[in-house]
Amino acid sequence: MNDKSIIQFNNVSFAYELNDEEATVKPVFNGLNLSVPEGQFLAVLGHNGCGKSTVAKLINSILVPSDGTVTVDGLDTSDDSKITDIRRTVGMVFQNPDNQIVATIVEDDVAFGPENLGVEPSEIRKRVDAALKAVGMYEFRLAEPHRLSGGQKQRVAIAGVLAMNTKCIVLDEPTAMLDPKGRKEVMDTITMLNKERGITVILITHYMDEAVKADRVVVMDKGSVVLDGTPKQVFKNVEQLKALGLDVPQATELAYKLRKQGMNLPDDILDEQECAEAILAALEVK
Amino acid sequence: MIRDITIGQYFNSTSPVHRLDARMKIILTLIFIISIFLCKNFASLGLMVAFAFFIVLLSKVPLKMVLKSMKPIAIIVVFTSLLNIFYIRGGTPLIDWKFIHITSNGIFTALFMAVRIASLVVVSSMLTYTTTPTMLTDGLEKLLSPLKLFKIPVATLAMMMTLALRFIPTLVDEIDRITNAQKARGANLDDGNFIQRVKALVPIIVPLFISSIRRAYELADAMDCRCYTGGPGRTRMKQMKFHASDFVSLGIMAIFIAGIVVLNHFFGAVLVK
Amino acid sequence: MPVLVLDGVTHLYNKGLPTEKKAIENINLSVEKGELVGIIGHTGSGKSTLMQHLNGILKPDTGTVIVDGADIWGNKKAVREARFKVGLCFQYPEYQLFEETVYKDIAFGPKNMGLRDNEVNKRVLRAADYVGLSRELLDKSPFDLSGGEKRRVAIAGVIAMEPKVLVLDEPTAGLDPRGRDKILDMIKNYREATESTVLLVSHSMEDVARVASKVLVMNKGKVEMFGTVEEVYAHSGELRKIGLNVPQVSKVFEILKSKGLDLGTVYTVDKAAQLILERGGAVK
Repeated sequence: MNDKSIIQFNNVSFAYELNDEEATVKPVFNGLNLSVPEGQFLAVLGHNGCGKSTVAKLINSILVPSDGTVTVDGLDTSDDSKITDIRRTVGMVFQNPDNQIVATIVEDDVAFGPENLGVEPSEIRKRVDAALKAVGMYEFRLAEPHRLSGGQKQRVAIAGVLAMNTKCIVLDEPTAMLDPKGRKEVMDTITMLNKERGITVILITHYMDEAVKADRVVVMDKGSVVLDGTPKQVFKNVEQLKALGLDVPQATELAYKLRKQGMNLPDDILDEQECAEAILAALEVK
Repeated sequence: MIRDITIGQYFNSTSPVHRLDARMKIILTLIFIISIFLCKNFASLGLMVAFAFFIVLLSKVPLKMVLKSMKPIAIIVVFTSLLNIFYIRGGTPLIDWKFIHITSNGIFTALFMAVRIASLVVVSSMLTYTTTPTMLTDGLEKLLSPLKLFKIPVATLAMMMTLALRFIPTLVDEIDRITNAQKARGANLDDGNFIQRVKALVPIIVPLFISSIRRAYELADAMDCRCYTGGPGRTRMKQMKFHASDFVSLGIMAIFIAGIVVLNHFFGAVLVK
Repeated sequence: MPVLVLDGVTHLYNKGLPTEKKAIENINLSVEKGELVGIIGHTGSGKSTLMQHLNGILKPDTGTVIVDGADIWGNKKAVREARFKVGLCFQYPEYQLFEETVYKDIAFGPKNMGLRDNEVNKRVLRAADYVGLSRELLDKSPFDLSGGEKRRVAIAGVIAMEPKVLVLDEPTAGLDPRGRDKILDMIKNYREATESTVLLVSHSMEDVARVASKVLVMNKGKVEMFGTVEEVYAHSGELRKIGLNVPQVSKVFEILKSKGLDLGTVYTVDKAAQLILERGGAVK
């Protein structure tokens, strides 16, 4: 990881225009600042309607800020002439696996992005094969997408982004419609891409167990960042997270409850192993 | 019923037919369809059926699957055959009883019609069984590209066709899901007169329509993110190239057409004027 | 008397084809009135197939389904009655909404039952109360509501039929923790207020642990376990073997046990904290 930031939100404001009688606007953010260093695995956590999906759309220039700037690798997302460069730098994976696959054969879908970029056919072939191997879907390259499981479809969507040689992947609640097996497949894939290939990952989610796997967690509420830090730093704020309508890992919550009753436990427990060891240590001291 | 439609389904294999260029396959299919209607007697009809059978064998698509593609049109075949048997006059009268008049021409026309429709379906489903939808739309796009001169957006139309093929199975599943959900709320879809039945479809069509619009918006965003502009500059992973085998197949087709013409000439027309 | 009995129910997919497969096999099950049964199992375990047998959307190839004492395939009328006795709410039920107003949509089921207008009205209002929809929302278009509200409207549409057994397939799927908590609380309150039977299909062992009185574990089309929450969750090793995720606190207690501190089975944080504190007190 280096210090160069790949995504930069400078004082970003954004509001949706509602189509009701008074033509009112619904503000989402007011002066949001966020900077994502290259190679980071960032989780953006928040309940529905907190503005986290808007963050994704602003990064990819599907939406542009009403005030302030969003830059991707130094490119301003509100500059129309830069849109293709921005989108080849940051790829996007959406929530519904069915609604982002365009072709009737897996490998043709993965080829869609590079084809749009005008890449040479032999080079596309190489990229498609490499991308499908990276997400473990190479053996399904000739399958029809509608016969795949949800987790497999999302991995195809990730391969489609990889084939564009993006530096950064933004995933907008990619596991919300998946079963536990599919969720694990997707999480394993993006963790691998981040750790082994240095791809910047921005995971937008409301599942705390996914956020725990990130390098950094940003918690959003009402359009602003309320917590920002490593998972350990963020999840120790049990009361605050619960008040925001979010979960904390059960191990964290258990430790928190025991500490409140006077047991001597550390305040940054995340996984079951740490939790069990801390409990044993605390019980023996007494 | 909707699941019986096999046109648009691809059967994965590596037969010589699969390997042919999609453009050539579309052209050959069109020629074959014309040849179906060239046949004037049983000899040429027999040759045509034999050739169709040969293509099926060559393609390695299981015969069972090919026959399955005929299931939805079986009723049409039977119905038109019956009409032909009872209404076509001319030739030798075979049965002349009260209001039933059956003539040799009627029987022959019925037989010809049935064989022709069946061959038509077999040959056109061979095209989709042996060609991936992507190759098929790419092939069509290439063949129709001269139309660009007339400002017809051929590439966009081809993209629309791909998306339609992609979403048919998804929408079929969705119809199933919504139907079950409304049935669980006591919706009665199987009884009643025509108007009642049409009204009973509203709880299915409205949600289907709404979800299709939602899908369309999400798909548009997803395609934008993958840099689709609909404009020029798009390349293709799978390049279309004619190989020797494509020209050989064209040659075989030419010989087949010649055979039909010769047989038509030597054996004369089966229908008597 | 049990309200729902399945006796030797088997269902085949692609019957008669070479790809024939038993989706569910020899299911025997008896659910007492007033119980809240959590049904867990991974995708393809037969949960959904089982569910669609309860109100006669699918017909068993062998075996019988008895609801409220009557075989639902006994005669034609019985099948239709089963639709109303067993209210089935599918996954993502908000995608089935179609009426102009929330009120009309909730009324769709009761109207199909052939009830009189004032009875329909009573039921719609009662159902709206159970799911926590305010009266102002009833005249709105269901498509103007938030995702969580839409889902509650759809569930109300099933509740308004006042079924003896309410079956919910993944009612919390895709919701954030707040939306999930609302739905789970609502299910709990509904069952307590109506004393009716509820079957809750879920991937989440945490959700099931919070509300269910009994748990049914499906695996490969068969019933793997059926018992009280304590009984089933005590077999966490076997549950994990068939690919289910046990709650994290249960894992903490497994580790404690492996290190010589056996405090029993636990599946909620409160219970875990209580047991550890009692133990701590004893040590003191």
